[in-house]
Amino acid sequence: MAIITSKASQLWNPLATAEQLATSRSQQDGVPADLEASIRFAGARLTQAAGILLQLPQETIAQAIVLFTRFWIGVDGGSLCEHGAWDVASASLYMAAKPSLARSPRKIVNVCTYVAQPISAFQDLSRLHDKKSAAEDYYVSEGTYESARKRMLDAEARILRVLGFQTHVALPYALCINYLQALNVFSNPSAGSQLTKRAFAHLNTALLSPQLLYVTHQPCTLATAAIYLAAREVAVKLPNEEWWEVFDTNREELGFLVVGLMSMEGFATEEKAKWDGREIPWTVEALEKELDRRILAGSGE
Amino acid sequence: MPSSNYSTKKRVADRYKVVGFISSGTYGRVYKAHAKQGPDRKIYARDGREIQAVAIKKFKPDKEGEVQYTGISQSAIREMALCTELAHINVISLVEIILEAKCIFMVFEYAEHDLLQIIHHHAQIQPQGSRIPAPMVRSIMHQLLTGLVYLHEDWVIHRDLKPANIMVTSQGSVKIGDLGLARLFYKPLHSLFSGDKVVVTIWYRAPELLLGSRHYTPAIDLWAVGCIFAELLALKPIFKGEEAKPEGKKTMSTLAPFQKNQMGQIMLVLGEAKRENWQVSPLLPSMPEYSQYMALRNSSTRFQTGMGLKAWYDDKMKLYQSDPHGTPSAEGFDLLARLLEYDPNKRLNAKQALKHPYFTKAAKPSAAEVTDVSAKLSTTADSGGVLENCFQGLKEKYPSRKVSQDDNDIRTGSLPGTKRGGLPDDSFIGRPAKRMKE
Repeated sequence: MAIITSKASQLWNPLATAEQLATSRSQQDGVPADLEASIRFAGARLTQAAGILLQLPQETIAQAIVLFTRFWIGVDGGSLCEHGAWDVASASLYMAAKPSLARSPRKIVNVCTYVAQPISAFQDLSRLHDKKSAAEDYYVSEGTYESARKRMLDAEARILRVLGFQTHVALPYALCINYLQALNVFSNPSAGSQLTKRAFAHLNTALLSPQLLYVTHQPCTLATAAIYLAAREVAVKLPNEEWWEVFDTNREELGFLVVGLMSMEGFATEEKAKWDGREIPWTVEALEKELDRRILAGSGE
Repeated sequence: MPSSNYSTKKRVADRYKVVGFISSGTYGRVYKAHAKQGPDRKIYARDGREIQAVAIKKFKPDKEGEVQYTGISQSAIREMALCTELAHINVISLVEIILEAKCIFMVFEYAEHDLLQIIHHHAQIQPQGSRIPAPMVRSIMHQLLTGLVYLHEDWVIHRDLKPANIMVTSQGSVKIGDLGLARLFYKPLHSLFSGDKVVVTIWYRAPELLLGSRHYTPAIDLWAVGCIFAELLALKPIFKGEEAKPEGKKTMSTLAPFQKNQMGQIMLVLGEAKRENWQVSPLLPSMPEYSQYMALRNSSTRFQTGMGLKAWYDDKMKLYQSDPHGTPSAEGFDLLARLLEYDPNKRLNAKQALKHPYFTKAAKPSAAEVTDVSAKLSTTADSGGVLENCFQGLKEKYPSRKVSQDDNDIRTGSLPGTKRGGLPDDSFIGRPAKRMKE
């Protein structure tokens, strides 16, 4: 089969360099790597949950999570010691929705505040639809709103500056459908549908990855890995030859991504246990307290 | 990826000297400027070319109910996402973006002319108006389509192509500008209708848009190119309809009315869109505005037959008879007819249009026509005798774009509701001290 490539920049992303991944501004400012990973993960989950409650399409939510993730990368990125994760997550969502599905600042603030509560921080995302009415009824006070709105809009400007105004995000969802069609999986509609759902679930999971898969791999490789893993899980037979090479993915990359996707469940379980009953440090002040707590507990050494 | 630290602030006034005001729109204003003098003050396009002047597009911050600041302008966010990804000789080049005091400033290369101004210039020459020379029209069309091939291959539909948005530099380079309405189209089954109900200035709006199609394609840009081609030949819009405005208070949810007059103008030239000629999905009868269209069709036989595009074209060609540069030829008509095809699936795409005999069979310009030794023909394969510089061999000098000196205050304070001075997104005051690892 011929290699399917496209030089169209709209289908490609700027990726993080090894240097940018080596350390971050937050770590330079004294935030331990594990705490940074926890806050990034929680921020991505908050964005996903808020996006669902705001009835935004998954592509818009995914774009917001990628912008949120990009913001913290490298020594030129944002620091958790200067920017609260809640501010950046809400601003990313606000900005991603703005071009075609704009939501009012009031709606974004209400929903993001609701989702950031300890009671909902680690709830099952797939059951969020049950909470829709509770989220709609949730309404922060005028004073809280004004303060949150100001922080969110300041964060929007910061994100743009830090990202060099590059807000374009290429996503793997459309490619995933195209690849599945090319692999002829829809000849059996039931299996094809099952495989598609599973592959999309993996693509959504990859957004939350501590390995930052969306900023280290191109959409074509993410789509390929999601299909490969999903096919194994739902026992759909794919071509015997190395079909992934047709989609610009080599065996090594495929292996890395599959392992990364499979490790997500364990990581999420650990995070849930780690923060059970405790509040995520969404603000700069809360982060300071968490760092002080760690020092006192002797784990900051 | 984060590439530059936000502590290195850039201010418009430090980098550019504004020389005048160009135009304004719903998004904000556009100013002409030069780089301020200094050793490191040269301006470069994304492809490395040095730029002498820039157009600074200043976006107003968004307001909620015209009262409360709601962040970076929606149109700025849209345009930034696209323009930072694009770099082509026939697409206007983004130089940089500056965020200052809640306003986004997008700095583009400046072009001295636009097609609307060139058309007006020719139309005003009496008694009959002087034709735009055929080789110049061919060069403009070739460059415009080359830029469009690039955009469409990059999954971008422009959605607002019209003469005013096609820039021309003093070196005769044609550039597609104003991507404020442009959209990506690679997402399958994703209706492009959702974000904004109406696109493309009405005279250049494709019939599928007029008929209410939601899943439109890059073919809408090719219809606009056909309209621009016709306008370059006739010096006036081919389908000059009157826009029907929505009744009552205009809101985002207001459905755009059927543009009866505009559809009528198209039918007066092309005749009716026959069902059997529209063989793709969605079929003509399934279009949202089909019943309105049929009512219009049945209201007069003139709408059913039309004068015919050939008759329209031949009428315009009479004015080219005495032109020493020759006429746009029969190939010109064929290209026009294939661009102004009712059915979007039968309409030529940009790549096919570039391979049309109108370009490939173009005669090489004679020595008399090419006065400049450095005259270059387009380097595109199969481009025949198409000039790379659309002004090549012209004695005529076009007036530069009008730049007003009256309103050249680009300061952020010049917009209502925007305070000047050190706003939070403008400077970093009191950055918390770094916490060192214990």
